[in-house]
Amino acid sequence: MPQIWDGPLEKIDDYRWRIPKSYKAGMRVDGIIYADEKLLKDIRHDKAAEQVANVSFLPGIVKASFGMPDIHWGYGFAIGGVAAMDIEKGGVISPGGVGYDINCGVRLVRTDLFEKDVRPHLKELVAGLFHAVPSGVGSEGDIRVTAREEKEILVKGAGWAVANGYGTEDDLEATEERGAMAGADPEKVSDRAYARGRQQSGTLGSGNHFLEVQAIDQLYGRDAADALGLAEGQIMVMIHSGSRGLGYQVCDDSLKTMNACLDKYNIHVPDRQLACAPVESPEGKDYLAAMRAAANYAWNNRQCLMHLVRQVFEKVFASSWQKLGMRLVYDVAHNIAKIETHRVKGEERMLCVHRKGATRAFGPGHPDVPERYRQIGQPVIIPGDMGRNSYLLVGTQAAMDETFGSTCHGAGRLRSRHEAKRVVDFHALMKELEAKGIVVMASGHGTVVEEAPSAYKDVNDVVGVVHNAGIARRVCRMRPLGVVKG
Amino acid sequence: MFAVLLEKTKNRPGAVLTEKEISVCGEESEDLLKAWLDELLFCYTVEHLVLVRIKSIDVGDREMRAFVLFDIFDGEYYAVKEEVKAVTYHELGVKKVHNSWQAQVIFDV
Repeated sequence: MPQIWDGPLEKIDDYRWRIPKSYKAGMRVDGIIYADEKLLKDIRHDKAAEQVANVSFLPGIVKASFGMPDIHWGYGFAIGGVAAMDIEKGGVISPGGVGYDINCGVRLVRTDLFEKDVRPHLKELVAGLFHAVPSGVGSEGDIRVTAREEKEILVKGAGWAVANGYGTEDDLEATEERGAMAGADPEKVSDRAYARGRQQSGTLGSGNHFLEVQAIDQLYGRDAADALGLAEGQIMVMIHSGSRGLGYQVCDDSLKTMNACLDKYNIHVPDRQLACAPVESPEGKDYLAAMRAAANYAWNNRQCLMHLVRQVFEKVFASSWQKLGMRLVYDVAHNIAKIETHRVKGEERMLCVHRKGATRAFGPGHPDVPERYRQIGQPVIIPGDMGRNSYLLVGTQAAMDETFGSTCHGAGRLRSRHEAKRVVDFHALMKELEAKGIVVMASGHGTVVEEAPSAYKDVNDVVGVVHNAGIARRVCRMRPLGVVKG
Repeated sequence: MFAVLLEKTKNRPGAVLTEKEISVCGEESEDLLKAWLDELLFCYTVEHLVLVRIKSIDVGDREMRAFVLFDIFDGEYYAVKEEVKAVTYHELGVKKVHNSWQAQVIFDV
């Protein structure tokens, strides 16, 4: 039997639970977890709630250490966590609060196609995507860049791809940060990180990264759907990838540096993976500059991947991507730290907001939301698992008020990869997906079983919680038709 | 770690192994272990080197030096199992048990 976490979770309401700061000496604020009774049972099955409590040890943390309903055990920080530190009050930045896959994120592309148009070509389409988009462990791409271009990518992000013909200005308008964070410094990225990221531009990667052809199967409320130009049955493409080896190494390098300076800043953390440094310290500034560079690498990567996807659609449907209406809906990061202004106890404060497995969900009217979406709120893309659903949501004012404009990021893992491999039968799973009309292509059997629907919580439950709690609003639900896995 | 990364599917006849000297340092035994694994992971991910055998190893309090024999990765002889993103500090531990050492390390896969 797995060990059940038996720490205190006090009910605030049907969707909010508190870990009081009295739980452990050293906690600076409460932990707050968003969940309903059903998800709470899953959350108690690993140490994620303990990790929410541990994050509240970090200097400068304000309001609470938050856990989203898709929260699950991670390294140091739980995956599905949000924590904001007040910079003027010695607030810290922690590479572990961002994760190894810096700017792992999702982009959603709309099309003018409907399921009836795609279904007859689905196998050809999925095979085309699988062959055109390099995926799998250590995959290398066809988009080759020189050392100088590599550094340009780290500054310009998706703008580099657009400048080189892999997209349009309109794509940048629909990307968080317009696809490039200011303040990235390629000189703060180690040679090792460059080496690990080399030749990986335009590659999907492995693990939970994927490409999916989806159909909208439910709309919730017409206002946002109309503003986004969405209709039932419409075909969408979702791309989930991150900063590949370059990001992993930036995180690892910075963790080493910050572990070495914990004494210097007199910081006590309950787990070395929570190593951190004040945002305004030389170590904090260096990490932020390198993290932004890695984030820009990831945005460029997803832009290149979308370019490859558009090319495949052009070939299969014998039409240009523009005529197929393949416009980017939005691209969001869900592993990132950002300097943002939020109201804390009635005062505007400059915070370092860590979102590790959490999505920015800025509400209507926020100046950082693209003008085309400013009335409805920022699009929030929530991938589910390959057998059930994914969602498009929008950010809300309640998220701004409660969670520094943050919400969940996915379904959330229920079973470890190891356990999934042990209990899921590849052939039975493929049959089950086939029966649902889902075409799957993957680099190996291992990834498919690790990513089986039964390895995840039901994304419908997770999204139900954030919608009912008000920290995001449902716009539409998609179901998968074709899946490419790394 | 290499057992997590890949498995050998068949022997390569006449394989020529590459010898490398690896030196790492660390403040504590946990740091030393992580630095050693980091180095091997880098050799694998960037240089596509697969650890075959450690020829000699010298472990001090704060440094470690080894001569290692590597095979070059070839998909015909090795099957890739997992991507290891990093060797984490999470619950990292090294302790002496009787006359041997016991280590715990968690990889981000």
